Amino acid sequence: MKINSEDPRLTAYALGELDQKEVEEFEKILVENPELKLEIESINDTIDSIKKEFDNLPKEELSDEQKESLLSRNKIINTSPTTFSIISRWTGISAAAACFIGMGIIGFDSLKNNTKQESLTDAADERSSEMPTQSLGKVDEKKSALKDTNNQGLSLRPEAILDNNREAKENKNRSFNRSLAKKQSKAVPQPAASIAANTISTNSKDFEALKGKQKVESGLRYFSKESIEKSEGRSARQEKLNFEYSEELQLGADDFSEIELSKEAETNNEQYGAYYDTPFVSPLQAPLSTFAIDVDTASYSNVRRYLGRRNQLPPQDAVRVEEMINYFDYDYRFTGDKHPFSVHLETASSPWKAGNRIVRIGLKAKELSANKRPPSNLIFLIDCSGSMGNKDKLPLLKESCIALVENLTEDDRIGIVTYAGGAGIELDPVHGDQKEEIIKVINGLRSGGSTNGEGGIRIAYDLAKKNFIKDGTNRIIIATDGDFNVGISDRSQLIKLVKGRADKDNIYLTALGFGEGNIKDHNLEQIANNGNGEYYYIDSFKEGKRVLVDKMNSTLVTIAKDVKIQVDFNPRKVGSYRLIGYANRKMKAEDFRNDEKDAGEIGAGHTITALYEITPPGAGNQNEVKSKYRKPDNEKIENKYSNLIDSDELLTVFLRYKNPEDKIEDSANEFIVPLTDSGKAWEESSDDFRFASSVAGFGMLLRNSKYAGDINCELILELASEGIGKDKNGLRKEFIELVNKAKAIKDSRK
Amino acid sequence: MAKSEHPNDQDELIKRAINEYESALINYAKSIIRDSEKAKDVVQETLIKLYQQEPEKVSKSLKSWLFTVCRNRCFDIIRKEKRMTNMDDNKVEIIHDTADDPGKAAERSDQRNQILGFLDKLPDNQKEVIRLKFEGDMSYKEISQVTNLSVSNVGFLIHAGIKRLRGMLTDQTI
Repeated sequence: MKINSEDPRLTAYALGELDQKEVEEFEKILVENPELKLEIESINDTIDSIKKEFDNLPKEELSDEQKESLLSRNKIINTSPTTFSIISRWTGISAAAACFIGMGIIGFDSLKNNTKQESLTDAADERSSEMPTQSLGKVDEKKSALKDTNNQGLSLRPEAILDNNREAKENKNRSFNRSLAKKQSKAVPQPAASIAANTISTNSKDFEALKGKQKVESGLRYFSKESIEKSEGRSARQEKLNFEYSEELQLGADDFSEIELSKEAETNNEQYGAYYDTPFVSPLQAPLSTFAIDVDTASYSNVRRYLGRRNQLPPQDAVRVEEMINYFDYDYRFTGDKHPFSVHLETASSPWKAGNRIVRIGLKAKELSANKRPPSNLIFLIDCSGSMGNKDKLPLLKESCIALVENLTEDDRIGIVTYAGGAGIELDPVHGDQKEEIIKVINGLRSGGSTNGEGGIRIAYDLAKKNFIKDGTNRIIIATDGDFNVGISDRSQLIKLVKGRADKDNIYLTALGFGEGNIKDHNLEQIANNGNGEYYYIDSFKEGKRVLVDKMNSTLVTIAKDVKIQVDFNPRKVGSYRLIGYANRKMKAEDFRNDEKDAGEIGAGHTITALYEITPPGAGNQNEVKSKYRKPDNEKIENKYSNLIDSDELLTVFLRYKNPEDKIEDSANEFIVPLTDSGKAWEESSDDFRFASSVAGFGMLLRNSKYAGDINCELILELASEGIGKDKNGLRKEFIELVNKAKAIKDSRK
Repeated sequence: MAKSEHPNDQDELIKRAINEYESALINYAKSIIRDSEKAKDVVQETLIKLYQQEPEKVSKSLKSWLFTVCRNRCFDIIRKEKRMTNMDDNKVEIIHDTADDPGKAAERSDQRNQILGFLDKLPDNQKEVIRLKFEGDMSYKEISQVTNLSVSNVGFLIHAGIKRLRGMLTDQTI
């Protein structure tokens, strides 16, 4: 019988997967096909290398938190046994727990028939030392194996795990750092580990474990990147992008400290939606530009994290220019009384492109004085999954929440729901003056544990509805590092729910993003948009305090909803226009007066800024469409403008909004503000104009926007320092520092 | 003796599961869902589920049981995430991660992890059975139980996968 190298029996034979009869048969075939012996040898070689590699893989283990939660599960179970079968099951577990806690030596097998738990626990403690001698040979092997693993920090004993891990981590950092000094841009694990050997004076096993750990990290890193790329099918553009990041990572390795390094070593699983810069459009083709307002500020704090903490330029798609601009307060005045916000328009020459004009649209919402804040009904929906354990996640969240709680009053109500690590309601809503109780619950939140499919968002909404405060603020505040296993798996379902509750029940939703490495930026933004709320990225306690305390009114109290802006450009004055930012907020012109279309919300005291860049009329418009069916004289100015009225106005801004209590079927209010260009240069513009342009320019630069023109860090710094104004909260000064940082990073790449 | 009468009681099961399979399970889950944290969550859930099983029922095929539960959970999560990213939206959007270039990572990667890198280039089904075979140390039959593939299919996939790996390794040394 002839077979070829495609026959799977070759591999099965090499792996010993054939049974006796098959082996005999196959060996006969091999005699007839001597050339296949080589094939099998080669397969064997490959198998050996694969085996070797897998054998050399160091042990992966659950996080301390997760192990702790497995342990605490046992403890909980221990306290309330009800049926025999449960007891007998728990018996083993409690014995295991007792042994782990006691000695790390296992010897509880003979205790299984015993169903009394307390005595069991004691017995296990007492007998643990003598037990091994009683067990059977085979079991002994297992036990000693387990004992060994215990010593390496793989046991369930929490203290041991913590100690060992801490040590291992410290050593890892140290060794990484040292190895850097020698091998600059390459993070090769092997030399790192051998240097680590010099620094570890304690346990050689620790060293082995450590060495292994580093190896697997680099291996897995390779793995996941590679495979993500494969599975996501990236575009060439993103490939290029990623290539750039890796250059940055290399750079990072050159000159930064261990903190950055250990962060880089983390698997980065952050996700950002792709955004594209709006192109210039001629008003002859599309006279109306329509968009929903956006008061999110998450992008700026995220950019700050990248530049400030990671010493990297942020990923292009993490930069949403409008969120950067709107992070800052502008000194617009609320002048109206008829509408809940006022509009301020200003135009001046473009600082980065000669001949172009910049138009600034500034909105200022009505302020509320702190004691006039309507009562709030807040339900925190907190992600307590294992991944929230990092210092920059749950602990930061707790700290920020407590700061908020301290500002609540008797009229407010607050409840807490978690959606992982425990079931549902952690705090049934209580009045805001019961601070001690609230803080106790917040401090008691633990991360880790399985996701709880039942808990989550519905419970949160139901609680909010039950405690609804008429004429008050009713809001869910979801805090997460990105995962939405909140009981509704399908995201469109989730959005539908969030949107439905906002429309029908007037319960809004605000999203707080935390932490590094896992943030699903785009998800969070979308959920918040649909929930009539905002999305903030909390990178520090300072930011948590800014959002939840300093900006409490604007964060909590919505004064107008579904705010839309439509700008009507006069083609006689405007050659083409381009909205800077708001890429994912654009609307169709016809949806402006469709009052069922959702748009952005504005909170008390908020300022919102949008910038347009305008090219003068007559300037060549590269995007202009030429049709061969159109008469050429149509291109002549007089024909172009023949159906236009004669107006000196540059543009008119239309604003449309609903009051917060309006229903989806209610019609919206509208008002208009026209603008005539004064022709002033940017050097004569207001502080706010210059500062906003500076931030916009910085955003465009970070996005590598093709519209960035002559923008460079020097220009941004000039604009920012001239426009710094009073800068009450020091945020503008911080911005300048960030620009300097970005400049340094860019310069070092040259 | 208690030991011999109930060699597979609950405690023994959990111990065995953690001691022998914790690491392999995590790596396996990670190879499917591409996320270290989530992989650990999944393994933790799998172990919790093990607490809820009748020991007699699962002890004989503990390994297959663990990998099957872990696998199903992983695919649940992936299905959910797929739906999430496929969410109907007016805009064209591409969700991507910000990880660095795999080529660069490969350069940095230790020589010894070369095969793992190559392994990842194989089709998903080949990759999975090879992992189960070598990291999970499973027989074709056990793999067939976990993956719902026939034993002969498993044989084909492993053969083809190893062949390709061999090709890549050869390529590398030239």
